[in-house]
Amino acid sequence: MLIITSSNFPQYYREHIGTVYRVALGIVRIPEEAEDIAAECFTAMINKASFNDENHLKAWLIVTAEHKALNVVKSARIKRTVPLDALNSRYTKPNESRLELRQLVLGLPEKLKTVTYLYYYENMPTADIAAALGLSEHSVYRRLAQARKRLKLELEEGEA
Amino acid sequence: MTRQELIRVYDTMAMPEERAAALQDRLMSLFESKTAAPYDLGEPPREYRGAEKKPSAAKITAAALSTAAAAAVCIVGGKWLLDRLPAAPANPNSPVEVIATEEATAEGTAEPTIEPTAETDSEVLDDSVPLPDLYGAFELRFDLIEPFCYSWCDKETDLAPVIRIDAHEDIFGSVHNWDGELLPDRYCAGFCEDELGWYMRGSNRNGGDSIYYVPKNRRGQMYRYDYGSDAAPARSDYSAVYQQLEKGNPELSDPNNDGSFYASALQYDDREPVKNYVGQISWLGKEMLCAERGARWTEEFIKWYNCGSSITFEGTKYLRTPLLAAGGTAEEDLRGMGRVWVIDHSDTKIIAAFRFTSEDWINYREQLQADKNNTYDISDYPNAYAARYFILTAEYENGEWHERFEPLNQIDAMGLLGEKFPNNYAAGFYDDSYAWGNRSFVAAQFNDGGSELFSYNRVTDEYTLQNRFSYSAYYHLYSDSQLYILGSDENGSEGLFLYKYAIESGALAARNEELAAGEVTHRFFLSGDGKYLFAETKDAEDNRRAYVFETDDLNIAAWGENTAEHTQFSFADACLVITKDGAECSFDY
Repeated sequence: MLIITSSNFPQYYREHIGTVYRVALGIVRIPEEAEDIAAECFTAMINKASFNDENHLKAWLIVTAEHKALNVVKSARIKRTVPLDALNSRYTKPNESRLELRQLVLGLPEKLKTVTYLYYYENMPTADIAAALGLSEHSVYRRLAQARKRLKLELEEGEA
Repeated sequence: MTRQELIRVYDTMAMPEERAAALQDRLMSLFESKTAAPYDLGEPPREYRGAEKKPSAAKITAAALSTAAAAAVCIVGGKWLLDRLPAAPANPNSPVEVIATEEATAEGTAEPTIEPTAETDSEVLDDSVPLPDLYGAFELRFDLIEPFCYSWCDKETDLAPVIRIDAHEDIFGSVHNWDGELLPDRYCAGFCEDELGWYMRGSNRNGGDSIYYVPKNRRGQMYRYDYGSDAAPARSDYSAVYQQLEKGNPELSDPNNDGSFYASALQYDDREPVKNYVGQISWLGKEMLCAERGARWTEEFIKWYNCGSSITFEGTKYLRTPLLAAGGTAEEDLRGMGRVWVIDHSDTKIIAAFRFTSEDWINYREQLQADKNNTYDISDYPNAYAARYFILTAEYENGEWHERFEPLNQIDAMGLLGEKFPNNYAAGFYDDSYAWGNRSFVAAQFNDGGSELFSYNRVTDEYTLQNRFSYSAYYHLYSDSQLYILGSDENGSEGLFLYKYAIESGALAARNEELAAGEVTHRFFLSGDGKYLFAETKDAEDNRRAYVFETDDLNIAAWGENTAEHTQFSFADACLVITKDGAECSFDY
């Protein structure tokens, strides 16, 4: 049993803040909103306090971040009110090519974003992703395949 | 885009260190004050360009409706429904819920400690409950009066303390959408009733076996009798949980790692089939468990399972898919009891559907799993032949069972995109399950890419696609003429959707898509008079919401929420009471 205390909280916070923030940002696409979601997630983590183990904690944070982000998207209709172009200037200035890539990543369907991020950036095994998100491993494979196809194809179209 | 480029994109999405540090400081302050309200971090929500934070549409709608509903009066005469648990006529003040049990320690045939459910011990002790001696000599006539499925949770799982019996669920299948949860017990086995109460047989996927007993005079109580849990350390998480809880008796575990109790549906290749399901109970010294009618039920059970492990049809060999058995080696999406669905059942006739997976697909999947470089693309695999359904019709005549095992016509999953498809019912390529509607008028297929609802014409034996949804997890209810589906996408992230269909036509009659994301269904039922639908949902933080829907148009008549900050509703005495905004309204069910 893993109990969150003031002593170990900093360690777990530092360990997972990047994941939580990126999962949220990938969906809401607004840094400030992602930061609020991260705050809510870790507050909830403190309130919950008890987890089976570190894997459970990580999975719980990922799912919580994803749900909260999707709730924000759904309720605030961010998709309709914040165009992608408006967001680009809010990040550190990337070059034009990277900007395009980011648009592709952020433009992935919500369903594919978290899986893609966890697999390619966090290097999480598909079985762990499946367990964390409550999916079958089969579904994870399929989503990754869809994401791969989408990223590649859309980039090619952009180049054409 | 290369993988490295993708990683660089994510690199640019890091939270600025100064913000991360500031947030950490604010969060640390929560430890200093026990009274700190959740999410109250001392800063107001930020404004951001181009959008403004707003309460969800669901909240706005519900709040408006709740105001109107505040004047609602208690509807008397509602019929008590605990899903499909038989109603107790004698005690109208019975507790609302059958609460999950504390688990009894399984010690073989030794006298167990039988713990009451989540209600207080003192209350139980003060009011003695007649407990059958299920560890001694006894006889229970487990029978399949009608196909049903039940599920329950215990406190350890942090899931809903609810018992659910649904005649339309697949009897051997897993409970939809709960895969991955720490839910030790989830399978259907049998149900019977005597003058003392109701009894249910169940198992966990690791071989543990239990009987659940609900006294008729204490319907809020449920007792669990364990007959052994598989506690081998190499097993799946469930075993680990049992071990952590010091539950389960290793001596009763499965020493051969062959799948234990429920392996009869899982036997492939060189596995030794379990003789029969009930026989395992005999192994535990419960020879009398299924005497008389129960023995016949056993035969029926075997019929359902012994349909063979493969079928060759139109040149393709289909295999019964391996499942996540006690060995815990198969994929999660293959969990279940052999993908068997009972469609119809009587004493002399069984119609069941079996899912088989093509050998080609199994081979392909192995390649896919071994593919570290992502060379294979699962999307490229043809849907045709991936999974097929076969219908077994077994009829008892002249002292024998006669089987017809009918392979369904070839159905490509993509063929489901058509308006009609032939008289068969085949699964798609992906995770799937389906429910047969009341008298087969309606059939719905659910997979992780969406769900389709079909109407079924018995005369022409044709299915017609009526609608396609974006969700795959669902609860459904039937009235005489309506089908209500409260569903979500597979992990609940896109919120819940409530749909109402006319059963015979399959026509969509009403919908409500205003339930918040992140919620999952805790319970869902109709009022006895059919006027209201009740749903209770919960989110990841166990915030709960109770909704009352008008069955006519699915509008929200009232809603309330229970959070760490406030309690606005309670289910008690067959009545949902919502107290908010200075008013109280109640709805009988």
